Amino acid sequence: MLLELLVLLVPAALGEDVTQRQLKPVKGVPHSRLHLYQPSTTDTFRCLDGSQTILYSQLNDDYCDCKDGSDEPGTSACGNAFFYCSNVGHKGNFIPTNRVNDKLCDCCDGSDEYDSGVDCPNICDELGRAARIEREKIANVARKGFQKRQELAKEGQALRDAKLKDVEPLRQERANIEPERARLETEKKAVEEVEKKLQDEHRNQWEAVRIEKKKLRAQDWFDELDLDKSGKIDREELRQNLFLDNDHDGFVSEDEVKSYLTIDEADFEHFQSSMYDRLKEARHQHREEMKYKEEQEKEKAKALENAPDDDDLLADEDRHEEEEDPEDVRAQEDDKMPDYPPEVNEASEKAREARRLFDEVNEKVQDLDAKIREAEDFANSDYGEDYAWAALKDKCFDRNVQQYTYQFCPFGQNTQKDVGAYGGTSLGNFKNWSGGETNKYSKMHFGDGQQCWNGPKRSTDISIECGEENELVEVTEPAKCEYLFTFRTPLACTDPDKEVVHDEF
Amino acid sequence: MTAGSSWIVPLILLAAPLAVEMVKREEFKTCDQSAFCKQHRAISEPTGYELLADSIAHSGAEWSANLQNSQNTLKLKVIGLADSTVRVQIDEPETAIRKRYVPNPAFVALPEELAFESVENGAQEAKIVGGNKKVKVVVSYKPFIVNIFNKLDELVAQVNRDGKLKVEEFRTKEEGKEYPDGFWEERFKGFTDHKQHGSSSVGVDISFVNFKTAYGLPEHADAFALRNTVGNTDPYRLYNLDVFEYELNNPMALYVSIPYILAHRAGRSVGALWFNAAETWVDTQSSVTSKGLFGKMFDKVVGAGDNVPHFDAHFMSESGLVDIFFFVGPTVKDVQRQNAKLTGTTPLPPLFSIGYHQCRWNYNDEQDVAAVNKGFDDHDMPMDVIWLDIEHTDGKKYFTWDKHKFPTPNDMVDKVAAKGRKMVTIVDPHIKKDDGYYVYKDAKDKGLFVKRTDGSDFEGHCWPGASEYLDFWHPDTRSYWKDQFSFDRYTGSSSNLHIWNDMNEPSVFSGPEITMDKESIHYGGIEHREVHNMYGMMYTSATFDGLMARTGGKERPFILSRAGFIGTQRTAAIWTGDNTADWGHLEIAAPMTLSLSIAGVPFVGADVGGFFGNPDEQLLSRWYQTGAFQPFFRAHAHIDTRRREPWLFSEQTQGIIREALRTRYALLPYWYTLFQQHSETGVPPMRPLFYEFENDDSLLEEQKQWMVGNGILARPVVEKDTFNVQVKLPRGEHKNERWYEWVSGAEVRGESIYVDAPITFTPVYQRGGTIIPTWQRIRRSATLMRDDPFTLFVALDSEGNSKGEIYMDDGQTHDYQSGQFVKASFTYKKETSTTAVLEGEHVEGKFAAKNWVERVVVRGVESSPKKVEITRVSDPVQPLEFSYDRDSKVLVIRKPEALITSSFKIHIEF
Repeated sequence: MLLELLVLLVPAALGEDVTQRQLKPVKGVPHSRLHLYQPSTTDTFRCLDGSQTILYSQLNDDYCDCKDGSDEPGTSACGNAFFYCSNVGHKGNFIPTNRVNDKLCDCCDGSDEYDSGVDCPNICDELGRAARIEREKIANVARKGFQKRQELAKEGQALRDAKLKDVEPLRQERANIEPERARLETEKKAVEEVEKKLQDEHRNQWEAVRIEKKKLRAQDWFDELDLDKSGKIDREELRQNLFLDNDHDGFVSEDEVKSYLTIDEADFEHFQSSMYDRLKEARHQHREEMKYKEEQEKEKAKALENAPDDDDLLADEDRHEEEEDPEDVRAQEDDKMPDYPPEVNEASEKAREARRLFDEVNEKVQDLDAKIREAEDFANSDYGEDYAWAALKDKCFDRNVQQYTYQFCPFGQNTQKDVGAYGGTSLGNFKNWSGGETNKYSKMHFGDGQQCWNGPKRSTDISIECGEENELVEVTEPAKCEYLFTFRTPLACTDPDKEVVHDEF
Repeated sequence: MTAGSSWIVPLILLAAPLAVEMVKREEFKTCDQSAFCKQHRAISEPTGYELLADSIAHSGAEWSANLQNSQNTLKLKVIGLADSTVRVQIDEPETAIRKRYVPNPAFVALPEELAFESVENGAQEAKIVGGNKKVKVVVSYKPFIVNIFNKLDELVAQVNRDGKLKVEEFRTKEEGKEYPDGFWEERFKGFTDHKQHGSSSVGVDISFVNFKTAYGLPEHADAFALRNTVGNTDPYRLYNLDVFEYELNNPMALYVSIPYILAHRAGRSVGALWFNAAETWVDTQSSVTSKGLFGKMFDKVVGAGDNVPHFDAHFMSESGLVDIFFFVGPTVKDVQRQNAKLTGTTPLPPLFSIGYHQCRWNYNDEQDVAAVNKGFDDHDMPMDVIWLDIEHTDGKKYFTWDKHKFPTPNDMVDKVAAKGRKMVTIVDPHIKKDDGYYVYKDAKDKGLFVKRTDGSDFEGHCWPGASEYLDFWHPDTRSYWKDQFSFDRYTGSSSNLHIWNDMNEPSVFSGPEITMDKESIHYGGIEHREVHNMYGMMYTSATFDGLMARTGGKERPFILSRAGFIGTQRTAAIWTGDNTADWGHLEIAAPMTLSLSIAGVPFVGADVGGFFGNPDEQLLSRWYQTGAFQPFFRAHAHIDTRRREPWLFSEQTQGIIREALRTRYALLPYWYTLFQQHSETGVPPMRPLFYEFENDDSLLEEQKQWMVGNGILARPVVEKDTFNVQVKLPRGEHKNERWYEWVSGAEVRGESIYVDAPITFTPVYQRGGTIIPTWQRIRRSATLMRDDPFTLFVALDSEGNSKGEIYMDDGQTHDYQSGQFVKASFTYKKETSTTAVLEGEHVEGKFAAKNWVERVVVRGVESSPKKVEITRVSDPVQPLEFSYDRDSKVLVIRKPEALITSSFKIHIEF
């Protein structure tokens, strides 16, 4: 095997006159680069990175000498070199040299398997023909698509221009209103301050009265509870109050009163500060419970009789509402602040009017701000170099896959829903163009969709291809909750007649 | 995969409190919750067995006697075996109502008996000398103790020194009689286990005398050297279980059970195999003094006073026999060979299987598979196998395909195979209960399922929902299963499709401890409790038979299994199951795979990247660097994780992964040779340091670095944000070992060094005195590299010498068994002060390997040669070009063009 290779290369290296103008062919090197691989006058080869000079016979001798692999373009000896398949009839291309003589046919002309014992037929003509047909088909699509894109670009540009044009008068109008808005705001603040001051005064006065009244009520109850009139309440006295029977055993135990009376006995001061509110709450609770029980029993009794009479039930409820605890009624009255006097109401009326006037103008300003922001956003958004994508803003594209409908909304939110269902699951909101530096507009990323169970928030990547129509052509889920849409659109079509054909390395 | 995600979903919906968290410890028994473990562990006084001297009998290789205590009478047998091995067996007497189970399928062949050299039955003790005087057993009668000696007449192990021997005989329940708690039935988590024959546990203590350190008892996510469980933790538990998100550093049971302990100290090793397939717990403890009643006896036998260290292991099994094989070495590689002789080795794996495997739960459809296949080529990364997890099936019915996602499986496999690659599909032992599923229907009709005690088929939940479990003890099941892999029966299969056996503990989502009820019945009336730990092995061996049969024995099968037992290595590779993408799991991969390796299972690895969770780029990078130096190299990921094919990461990370893959592929000839050597010697390719540096006691606890063969020391970085690590480079007994940094080839000095390890670097060293064959033309897959030339890395030892071997064959068939292989050796010898010679010698085999030596890299050469020449067979002497690097002292010999199928000599003149 090796010897064959040497035989093949040796005459090329030694047998010919190096001064001859015709370039020596070198395996794996395209014609356009052959000049780099010609022997020096001393019959040597300098590695292309300049790192070393070797005998010309060591070029393509199936041993890697150069660090950059440049001495072995035609064998698999270097891990970092490339082999050129000329593929006459089709398209020439480079393959990594680790595919040379590996028993797999990689070049359509079979030139990569010259020494592996595998016979690779030359299928370049066939492939070339098919490829030309395919290329033409693609070019046709691109041509049509590109035309549409230009129209869409105009549309997008027009939208943008309109937005930008609209925004100046809006800004002007806002500027005109602003002094009025500011004036009204100052006025509003001034009268509101007066209003608040008067209200506060009234409230404070009443608060003092309320506290006094509450104290009196507490004193009354304290006296009532202080059975032996000793000026102090002890646990024994508390235990006489059945509403403290938490566990409903018909008897108030030491434990049941302990949480209300944590010290041995309470004077009025302690009663007022630490016990009154809680006892009141307990008594209220107790009464509610009693009422509920009573009702239940009545209903039971009713049920035992014949079908209940609606009127009776209503009457029952009415009765209950009337049956308010007099103590509670008194407390409620005491707690209710008396109406504001007329001078406060007058101030409030003024404030209300000032607010109304301000709000009216302010709303206008906010509305203008929103419009300006939208226009600015539009102008600042990235709709592609020619603004063509602006035409797809607010548009959506659907695709049904088995039981689901997937929706792609270019600058909005993607969703998945059951076919025919309303609403759906968010697969993410538009985040950015993600095609990288070289091909930014070939991909979009959507993120922050609905959280997955035991997984990430849903997201979608959009792969964008040239097509005659806007169409969502494929939906897959490569990883759980990470979707991949393929979207075909004229917006991704470039002018096929302007494209440069890159053929060589 | 585990009883994790999709099974838990419906549960969660039904019962909100069942939140998902780390391992649900309460799902699994503690020793206290296991009646027999609790009982055996509580033994504090000797059980008082003595040997009845008048019952002694012996003939040939068997010596027997009766043992008796206040409870019962037992039968002791000591059986002499070939290769320094002795078997000590304690059974019920012949009057037993039922035969106790012996897991014979775990043997590679029935043990080869070797008649005793001599037997001397004394008044107090019997001295039994094994054939060829390789082992000696001294049985003392009262108290009953078995003492095992190696060929150097050193006491290495004792049985029942602490008097913990206990054997509960099978019973028939007697009305009115009182039995201890849990004797006839035992409850756990709402499950009741009925013990048909009563509590029938066995247990005894084994003491490894003069050893402080011991290893083995895989599989646990724990340190390599066995810890002291006594007084600290539960005993090590061996009970094959499907554990969801397992915890690190504890003795809880996992998927594999190999009741084997290797004790080692400088220059000496002994191994003990506890031949029992039932649930087993092992309490371990390393101590320095002897204690209690037996101190005196111990002293007498050892004759070494009080300060003799010993490593004690108290084995407790729910059923089966006390049946122990002692491998008395005396060296660690002897022990490994002795174990291999009994339980077998991993047959030479097909070449592709030691390459890199790409797996994910799941590659979604045929397009996805095609894209992954292409992705590796587009990014110039080698890869050999694409895997399909459970979602490829039609409703989790194994051997079927999802018609929408995989409409043309044959085409798909062919396309992957067109790049020299293979595919693997998953086939689990639970069979969907569905009359429309042919496997279910057939197995039902033929009665091939495991049964309940009432004779009906055992049923449990697994991936497909209601499922039944094949009974691989039934010969009809085995032959039926074998047939299922024939190409015409398994649609879409071909010789390029291999098999993954998962969930074979077996995993039963609805069962006690997520497995099969112990009272279930196998063929021949065997209770599941008697054989639980070997279910997975019985399963993979049946699959193996199927993969053999489908090509008429021509092609080598590849099977990956999660569960395993003694003997599993003969039919399957093992991975460490459902690990997690965190640093702790990366670090534990080495102790876990080392532990399996020394216990006889060498083809082992951990999921690269971690199964659960999403590794960040640093963790993933370090994991690839680590996985490249562990035997089974597969990336895998849970269905809930983000995609992680290598090209989805940054350029830097892609570069690191590509480099790790290339490093692995470069070393494939070395790995392949090591696997071939393993198949003959039992020595695992991945080895603890003490295998190669037997006399260095400072390496006994080492588990962050290991050896690949005898020539490569790897210490991948497994710690987060760590870019400088300590590496121990053993200098050997004579302090003259030399080491070379693998990539640069420069010699490294110092025994314990600190090495810069930026994210792009893996600390790997070549040992002086070794020659390592590599492939430097990294292609798309291993198969495509088979005929490629070798680059030999020659690392000189302190004498200026080194040697190595290479094994090659066709990489895929069994033709090597009829001589179609080639073994060659390489020897580099300093001849005089100014000459050296590298000799390549064709040793054996008639395979016409096309590989030739394209480059020789000699490390540690003091000065530049004047001249290098080669003589090939009968050719005249030819000069060779060479280059020498003064700084790294590396000599590169250019293109010797020597075939490995014939001999050559390279002369170097200084």
